[in-house]
Amino acid sequence: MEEKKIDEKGKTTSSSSSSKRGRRRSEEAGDDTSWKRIEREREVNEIANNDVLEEIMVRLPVKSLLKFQTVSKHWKHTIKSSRFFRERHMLHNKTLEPKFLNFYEDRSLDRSNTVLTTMRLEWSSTCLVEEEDYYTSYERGERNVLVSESVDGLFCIYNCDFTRPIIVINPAMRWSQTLPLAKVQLEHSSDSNKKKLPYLGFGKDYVTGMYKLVWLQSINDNNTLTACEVFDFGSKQWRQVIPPPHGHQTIYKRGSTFANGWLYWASRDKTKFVAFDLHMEMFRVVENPIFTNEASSLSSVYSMDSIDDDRPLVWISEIKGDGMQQVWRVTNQNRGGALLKIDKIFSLDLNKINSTWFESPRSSISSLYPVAISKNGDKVIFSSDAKHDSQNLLLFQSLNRTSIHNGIFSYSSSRPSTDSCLIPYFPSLVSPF
Amino acid sequence: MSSNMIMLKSSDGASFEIEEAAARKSKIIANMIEVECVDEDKAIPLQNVTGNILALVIEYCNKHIVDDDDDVATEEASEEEEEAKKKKVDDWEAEFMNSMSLETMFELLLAANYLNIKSLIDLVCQTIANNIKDKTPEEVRKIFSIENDFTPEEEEEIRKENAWAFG
Repeated sequence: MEEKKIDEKGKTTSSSSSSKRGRRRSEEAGDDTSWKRIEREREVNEIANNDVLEEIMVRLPVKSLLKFQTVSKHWKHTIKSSRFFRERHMLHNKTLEPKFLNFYEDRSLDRSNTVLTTMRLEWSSTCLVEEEDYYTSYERGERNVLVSESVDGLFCIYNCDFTRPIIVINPAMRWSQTLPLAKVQLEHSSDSNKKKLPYLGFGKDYVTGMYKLVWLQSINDNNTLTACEVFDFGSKQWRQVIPPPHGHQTIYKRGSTFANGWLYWASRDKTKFVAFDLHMEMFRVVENPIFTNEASSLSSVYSMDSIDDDRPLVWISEIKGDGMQQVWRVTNQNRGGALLKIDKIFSLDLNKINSTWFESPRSSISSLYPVAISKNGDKVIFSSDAKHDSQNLLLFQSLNRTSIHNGIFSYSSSRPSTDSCLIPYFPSLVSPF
Repeated sequence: MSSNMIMLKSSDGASFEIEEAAARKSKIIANMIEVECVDEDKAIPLQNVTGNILALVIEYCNKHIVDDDDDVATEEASEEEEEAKKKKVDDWEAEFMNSMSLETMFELLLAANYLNIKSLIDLVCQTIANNIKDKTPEEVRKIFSIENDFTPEEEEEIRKENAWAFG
């Protein structure tokens, strides 16, 4: 609806002339009719009104767009209210090289703060360049602050000690909002034998475009009983949903992966995933496309994550007993939540990776976690740490698809010393409400 | 690859000869060729594009036919070669856009839009975006001949909401 309005506005205002480009008229040959001249003026004026302007605007950084809301009512409407423009801006940013959010606690100030720094990656020089700092309002001495993966440039920050509400942020817009407490937070905040909160699932209902949070947790010690709560950004409320089928225990400490309207949790049974349809709000159990039978999975471990922000695609990485790690590309597009193996992206021999290649050397490398993949698909950053610790990054360049090229990433400014992690994201104009 | 030449005629009557492969960068001209409404002896009239702008469009198209050929022919090319080639094109594009005034960029953008040359639209839009991203809203209004239809109060309101972006 909104975009239609803009088009119409463009058409209705396009007959007025722009004096700025009068020069062009004098260049026209004498045989031009006055009709043609009007046509020309109409066209020149189109820049300010039509799709071509939007084509320019989608390429502007979020900061510039926020500033340019004051240009005119038309610009403000496009930037602030047009869902169509927001989607286009997002699609354009997804075609660019991945950016990162570096998340750490800054204890250098007398009040320690959680800091989010946006970073740009220069593949050629393997350098992470700092862009902007963003301080959150989390309080002094806060420990165990967790951050969700990014969906459309949004993140959730929360604390695993139950007491702090979730904050949802868009760092590019410096926008943030505190959410109401979930039932699990309310009930356990006074509990003396506190359990750790499970990782928060964050995703988007691809039918309605609504963002949702999912807290899947076990309510007894041996993980046989589960409960699930969903926060809906439309109604701004938490509600209980029916947990996964009995007998499919998820591995809570691993968190979930969002892909194309579904969230996935690893199951104790390596041949399965527990999947949640964010539109229907229903669980189902799907096959693991990499480990098809229990026997082959015995000696193997695996992990799963999204490929940049390409949400129909995720990767599953498999490490066999011989130290070979395979990274597979997997999709769930048009498959009702089921996962399909597409191809092998990389194959690595972990035995050949020298632990001194990392800034904090390790005795052995048991697994590498892809953090980001370059747009032409030939370079990958791996972390030796599941939480993407910024000290354990390694660049993999697939000259012949098996060699590890280059080592440590450098930072343009001083790197935060402790507990910092890197999360791939792209800047967007999205707010979830 | 065919080396057929075709003729293009600008709105101000200038004629240009261009290789068919280069002209096909324009979806409009490619379509015309497909449906065979291009007469070999007659120039294609482009009523929305002046001669000086058409010259720029042709310069761009000539530079970019080569890449498309290579995509098909040299799949085996090594990564270094690929990267070197890409850098060469990037450098040429930077140089091509570098000396251009905003005025010319707008005219080139409209021509690229009219002729439907996707990669040129991308290049010009990105250059214009880079050019204006650090400007003030007032400067942007001037560039696009846009009238400020906010009251001072309304403008101040938006400014306050996003104060950091104006810093």
